[in-house]
Amino acid sequence: MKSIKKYIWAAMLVAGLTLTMSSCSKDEPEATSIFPEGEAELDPTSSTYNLDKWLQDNYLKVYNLEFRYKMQDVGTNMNYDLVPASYNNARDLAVLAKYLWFECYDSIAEDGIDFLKANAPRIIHLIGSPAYNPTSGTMILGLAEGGIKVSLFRVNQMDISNFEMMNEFYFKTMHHEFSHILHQKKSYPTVFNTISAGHYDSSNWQDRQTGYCNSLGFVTNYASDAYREDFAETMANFIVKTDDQWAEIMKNAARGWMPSDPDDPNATYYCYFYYRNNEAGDDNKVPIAESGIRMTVENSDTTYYKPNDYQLAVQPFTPDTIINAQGQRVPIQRDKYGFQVGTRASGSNYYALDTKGARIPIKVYPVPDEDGIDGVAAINQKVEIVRSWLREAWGIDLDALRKMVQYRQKTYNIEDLRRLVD
Amino acid sequence: MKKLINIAVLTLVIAGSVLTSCKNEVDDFFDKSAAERLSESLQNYSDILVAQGGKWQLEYFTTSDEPGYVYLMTFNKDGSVKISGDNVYISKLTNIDASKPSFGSETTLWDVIGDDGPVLSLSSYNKYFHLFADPEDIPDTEADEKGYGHKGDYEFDLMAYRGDTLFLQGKKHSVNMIMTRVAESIDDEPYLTNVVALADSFFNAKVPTVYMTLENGSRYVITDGASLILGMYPQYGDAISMTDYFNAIITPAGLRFMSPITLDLYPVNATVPADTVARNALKTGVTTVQTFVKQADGSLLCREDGVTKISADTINKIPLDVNMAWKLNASNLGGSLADVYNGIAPSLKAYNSTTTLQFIELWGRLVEKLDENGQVIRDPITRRAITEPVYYLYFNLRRRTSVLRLNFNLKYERTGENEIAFKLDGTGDAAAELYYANVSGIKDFVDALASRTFIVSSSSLLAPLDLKFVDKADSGSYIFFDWNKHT
Repeated sequence: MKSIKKYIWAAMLVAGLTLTMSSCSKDEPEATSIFPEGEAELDPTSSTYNLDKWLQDNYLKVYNLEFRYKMQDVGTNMNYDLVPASYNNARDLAVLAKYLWFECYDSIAEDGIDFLKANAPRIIHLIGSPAYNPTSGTMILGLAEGGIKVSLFRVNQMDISNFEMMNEFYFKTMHHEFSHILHQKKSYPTVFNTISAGHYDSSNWQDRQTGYCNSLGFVTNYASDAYREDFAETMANFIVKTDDQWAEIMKNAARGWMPSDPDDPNATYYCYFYYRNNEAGDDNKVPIAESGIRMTVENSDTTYYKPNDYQLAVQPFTPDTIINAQGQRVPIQRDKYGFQVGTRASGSNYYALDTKGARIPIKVYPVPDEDGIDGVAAINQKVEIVRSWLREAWGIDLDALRKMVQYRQKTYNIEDLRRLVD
Repeated sequence: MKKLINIAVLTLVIAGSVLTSCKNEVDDFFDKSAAERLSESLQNYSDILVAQGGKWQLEYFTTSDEPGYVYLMTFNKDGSVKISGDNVYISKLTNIDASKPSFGSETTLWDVIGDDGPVLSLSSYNKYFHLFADPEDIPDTEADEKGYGHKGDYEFDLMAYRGDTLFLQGKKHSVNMIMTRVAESIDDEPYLTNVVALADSFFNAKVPTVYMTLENGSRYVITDGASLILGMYPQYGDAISMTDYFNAIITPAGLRFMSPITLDLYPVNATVPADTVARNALKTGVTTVQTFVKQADGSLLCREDGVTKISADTINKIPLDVNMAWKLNASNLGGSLADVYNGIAPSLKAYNSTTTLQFIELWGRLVEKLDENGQVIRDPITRRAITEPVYYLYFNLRRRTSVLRLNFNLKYERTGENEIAFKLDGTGDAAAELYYANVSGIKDFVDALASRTFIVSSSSLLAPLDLKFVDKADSGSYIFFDWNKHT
């Protein structure tokens, strides 16, 4: 009885398995794929044949990468309204990406071309417009989806003559997204996440000023979104930023910053201040931007930055003409600094008058760095972690990579690169 | 035991049954795999697009807040497509304050790709077309559209192909559109310029009100026709609370609403109450319309029911619109009416050699109604003055250094379908009386006009900017009037 019962359960199991296996067997792929295998055959009569052939030879065959410049909206996040890239901009970006990005890694990586063959995304998808998020007021510059596809946005606004813009929106973005691909394969040291712990702000990073973020130890405001974005931004910015741009980041990192309104979470931050009428006191502190003041040393026509000297600031607003005592409209007499002779200009906070009516220059002070964060040290520490990780995990010399990228971005000739395709 | 055996047998039977069903499901319905069928479908639609020169007219819609836009697309076998348009947003590409349409054409790329089915993808940026999909703020609106823009599509599900018409649905925003094959020989720019001109001729701003006459003879008033976002309300309903808006496109074939519109039917000439319950009680049914075909007489006839029509007011009511004035076309008169008109100048010269006729006009205005004591009659509730229309036959005469105006008082009578008769109402102002008494040509012309019955027609019943008056008793005698700005 017992054995029969066992047999019956076995029969049921076999039936069930048969059912399952039969169902599965219909899902087995047939011997020949429905999709073309290997290289797609290009049509020489196609209007895009030259570019398609160049992409096939330079991306698909070399890196097994599809450089997708024809928009497939179905292949994007349908929550965003996006448009295709223009053909000409797509072509320019294709040749520039090869020259400024792929070939640099090929040259620097210990594994040479095999490094990108193994690690580069399988698809680069160009999109003409930004992906706006109307709710947060942000826009997406790039997306790396599971290490497979990198989407680059805003291609139609590309200005080939503006290299800072090209870096910001495309090449920095590519390094940024690529760093995500790499660290998803081999994790970076977790000590990186501790350097700026407590200073990330994932909901308001877009409202933070870059200079203020630098002083907190982030290379950009986006880096202050989260650990992983910090890592990607550190790597990408270190590679593409020029020496002057990097020095500016470090200069801001070394400064102290104060908000225009301590109670306003979206306040503007400044790195200089002065006291109203030169009367020291917390209530008299007025923050001022470096770009907002014209530093002119008295008895000199030279304009330069020297914050601890007595300074004259921007020319206050006054009309060009005035009605004199006789009722006539006459030009205003001005001194060499542009101030109206013998009067105090209205609306100016930038100078005071002594008891005889003479102008007293306002002293401008740098905001003391009192936040307890050594921004320069934090950024340097992060760069060092990226440097070590790239070398040890991937066999890439970050400094050599940066040097090559910097050289190429200064010296490329777009006409020469276009000729490779046309 | 028996129970277990039964269960086992039942299980095996069910398993066998299911297996058989699975096996037959695929093989019985299609002789090719889904992928093969999709691939064939892509090729089929690609072939359709490039056939016969590959030129198509797309009736393009974004949202219900915008009119439709006509685009011409020429699909080439090499994957390129020339896209041409003529609209105000093309003008705004170069001048953000532009308010007139302008033409633009650019060649970019197309493809038919597979998704759930075949999809027409305009896959590289065309500045004259993709502007409707660009997620940027629209320059002439108060709202901030950054992030979505016009919400236009550039990928379209290819739903069907029938009789040289492709039926499309926007991939992202799901708006249904049609694309019609046009002759390869069509020159894009003049064709599209003509489409813009057609829009003016259909809904001319000089004709402020047109009507949709439904199958039972009741009418809806159409306002804002020139904007192609048509405001519509029942003729005897409340314009403010009962107006609905429907966007449309104009093509050489006629007018088509973005979506089918459903209108309530009410008894002819019945006042339609604002109250919903009362209105529903009055309602006798509904009618649904979408496509209107341009007729030889200029009106638009509904394709779906063959009855519903869009036109201006009944033609013999047009001259009675006090918002319009009609200037006699002196170069287009015939028969005895031409004779009497030609008699004006010599008799005028005989009366006063320095006086010449400038033009003649029919016009009307609203005046306050007076009682027998000469007092203004007022509405007992609102106390507003009650007005009534008065009409004039107006002669504008030029003297050596001045203008002399003669206004003859006229009465109109609508004597039958498309018929109208004039009568003199008294004579007119003092100048009119003087010249009527002393200038035979003027008297003869006024008398001729005021003694006949005319059959009225226009070159367009939708935008009647010209009126032809033919003497009912003498079809060879006629006179033309052209729309003139009311002064």
